[in-house]
Amino acid sequence: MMGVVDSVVSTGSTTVARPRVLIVDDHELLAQTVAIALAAEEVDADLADLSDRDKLVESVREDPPDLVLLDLDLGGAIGDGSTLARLFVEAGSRVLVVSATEDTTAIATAVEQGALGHLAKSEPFDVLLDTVLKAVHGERLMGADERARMVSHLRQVREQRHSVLAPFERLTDREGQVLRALALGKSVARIAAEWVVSEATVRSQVRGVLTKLGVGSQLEAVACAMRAGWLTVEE
Amino acid sequence: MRLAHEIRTRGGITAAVCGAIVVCAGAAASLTLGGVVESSWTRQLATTADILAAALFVGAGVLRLSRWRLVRDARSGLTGAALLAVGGLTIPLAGLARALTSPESLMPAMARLLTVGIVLWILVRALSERELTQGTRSLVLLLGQGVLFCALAVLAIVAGARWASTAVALPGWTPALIEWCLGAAWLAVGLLAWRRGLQTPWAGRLAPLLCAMGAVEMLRGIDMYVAGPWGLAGATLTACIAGLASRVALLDLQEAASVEHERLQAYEGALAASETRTAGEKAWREELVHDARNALAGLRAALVTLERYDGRLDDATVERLRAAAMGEVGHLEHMLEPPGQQQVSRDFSVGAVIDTVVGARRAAGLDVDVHPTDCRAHGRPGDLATALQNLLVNAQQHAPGSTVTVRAVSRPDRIEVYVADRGPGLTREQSETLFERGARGRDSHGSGLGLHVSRKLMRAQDGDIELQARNHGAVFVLSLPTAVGAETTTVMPDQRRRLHTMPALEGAAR
Repeated sequence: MMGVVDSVVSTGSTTVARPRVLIVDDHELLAQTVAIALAAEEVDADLADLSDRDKLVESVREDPPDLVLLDLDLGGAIGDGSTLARLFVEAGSRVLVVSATEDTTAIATAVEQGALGHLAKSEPFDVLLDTVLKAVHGERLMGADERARMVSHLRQVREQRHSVLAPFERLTDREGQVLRALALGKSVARIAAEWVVSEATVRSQVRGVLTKLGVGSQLEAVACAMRAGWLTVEE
Repeated sequence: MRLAHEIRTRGGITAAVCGAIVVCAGAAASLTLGGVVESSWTRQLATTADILAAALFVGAGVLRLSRWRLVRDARSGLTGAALLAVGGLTIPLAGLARALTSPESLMPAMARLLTVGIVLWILVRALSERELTQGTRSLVLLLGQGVLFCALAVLAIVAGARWASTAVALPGWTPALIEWCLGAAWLAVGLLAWRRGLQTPWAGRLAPLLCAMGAVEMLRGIDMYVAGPWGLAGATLTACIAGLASRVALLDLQEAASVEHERLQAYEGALAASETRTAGEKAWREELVHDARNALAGLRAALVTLERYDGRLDDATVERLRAAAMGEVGHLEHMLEPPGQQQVSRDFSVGAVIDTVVGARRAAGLDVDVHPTDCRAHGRPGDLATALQNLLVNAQQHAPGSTVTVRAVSRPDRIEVYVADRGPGLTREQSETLFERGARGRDSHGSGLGLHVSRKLMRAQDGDIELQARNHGAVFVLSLPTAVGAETTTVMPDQRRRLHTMPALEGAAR
């Protein structure tokens, strides 16, 4: 594992070994505060520029910091943080997930991809800071058991998700579109009018959806799609 | 629906024409054959027609009751009951009256009088629009009881006379008179239906049938007075009416069923849409909780840091942290404001907003030069204040020590607020991505609410924020529509969608 040694910068006769931390969080107040507190603890902390994902990854590759504090919901140009964990780990940094998310799957994914562990933002700030400092100095945060348990849980969740989504994969493109239109509250007649097809065609597609999902009504089909996560509400 | 109505109209006319032809032909045949054919033969024919009519009426009644079951329409229920009474009681009683000879024939005639009275009463109830008042109801009850009492009294007299073996000579035309009275009653109800038909087409369709029933009773009365083919004609007409009634009942039921089906589908669609909406709201709530948690974590961190490193942080850092924490508190407040308050735009004084915001920044050490103004704009003062404060905080950071000038200008349809500093300005590259989400300089320590959010806030109220000059200091222009004058408020359309991309949420997450 890459350690503090990496960031030893030799400047002439004096050797300054200040560990470097990169904070990848779009919540500025917390990021700034952590940076200020770390600076007071003799740790260099930078706030990541979140305007461009590729640039961010590139800058970490060029000069990997010792530790990356990674938020998982970054929004905007960055998107899902959990996939960044692997890239940062590959670049040679250690990654600690610091987030307010309750999505255990996302956290477990990050851990599976090599993150040291997860730290909830709701933890008292002292605990938060101490954990970050431990991570900076290369201490282990998570036992092998806990990690294995998390990963196996993740695998279980994935399998479950896969089996729930399996019926939806059997839908044809058109049936998928019909289901989406139904979820928007459109009637068969309206769908037929919008797509310039006969009502009978749409009705048979609806029947196809119901049969493949094994449900009795359009409402049930929509609810089923929502619950399985096949349909998400996009605004 | 229109189609069903057309079918019914056409079918009704056809059936009525057929019925009329049958009646005329039957009457003509009976009249011509009157001398040739025995009267028992016409009687047999009339009985057959009666049985047919009774069966059809019962069928129509069942169909009407089914419709009532389906759509819970009181009229259908009442009409169904009336049809069943006609098919199951009055017609068999009429047959009985015909089969028996006088004076016993008076008894079925009396019973018939009662049942027809009940049927007519039910029909009148179905036709009347409102619930009856208490007074009318008692009057009707009294009348009904009177009729019942009279009928029973007559029956008692007749029975008593038979028992005493003294022949009470009722005039021969008594049964005929009863029939004519009934006929008149049917016609009266028919007239009522015709009048109601002006408002409800349903009653209008019923009127000819009721009048025809009146005609039937009249024919029956004539038959009792002078025996002839009239009875047969009446029975045939009854059968025609029954056929028509059951046909109409069937069409109505079909229509109700298809309407019901469509309604069910509409409900299902609406439920599916609401399911989607609920899921959307759940997602929005989760986002809100997540952002609030983020904001709280930030505040706690800032407070703990200020306390823990008290004395070890330089003044600039402490001030920065304090300002950022204050900004966060503002976002939290903004986030928790009821949506309704955030959405409302109104006329307000731009000068007052500028004064409030500038006052706060001056207290924080910024040198601001304000040109007084009495402009009034239409928008959300709170959002303009947020955007303005954001610009001033930015200026304080990027142009330290520079005086910032704030000036409001009234254009023909817009109010523009210029915020100018004399700092280093922005490079072309910076100014291009300035308003994008997540854009910030490496040395930026904004209050947390970026220019991106300011732009969203301004655009949400029909205004905008732009960068005008970038080389010799930055000049930002905030614009809003001019006040509309009257005290009107505009509610932003599609609240939920707006809520979903509520700038405050994103601001808080930053």
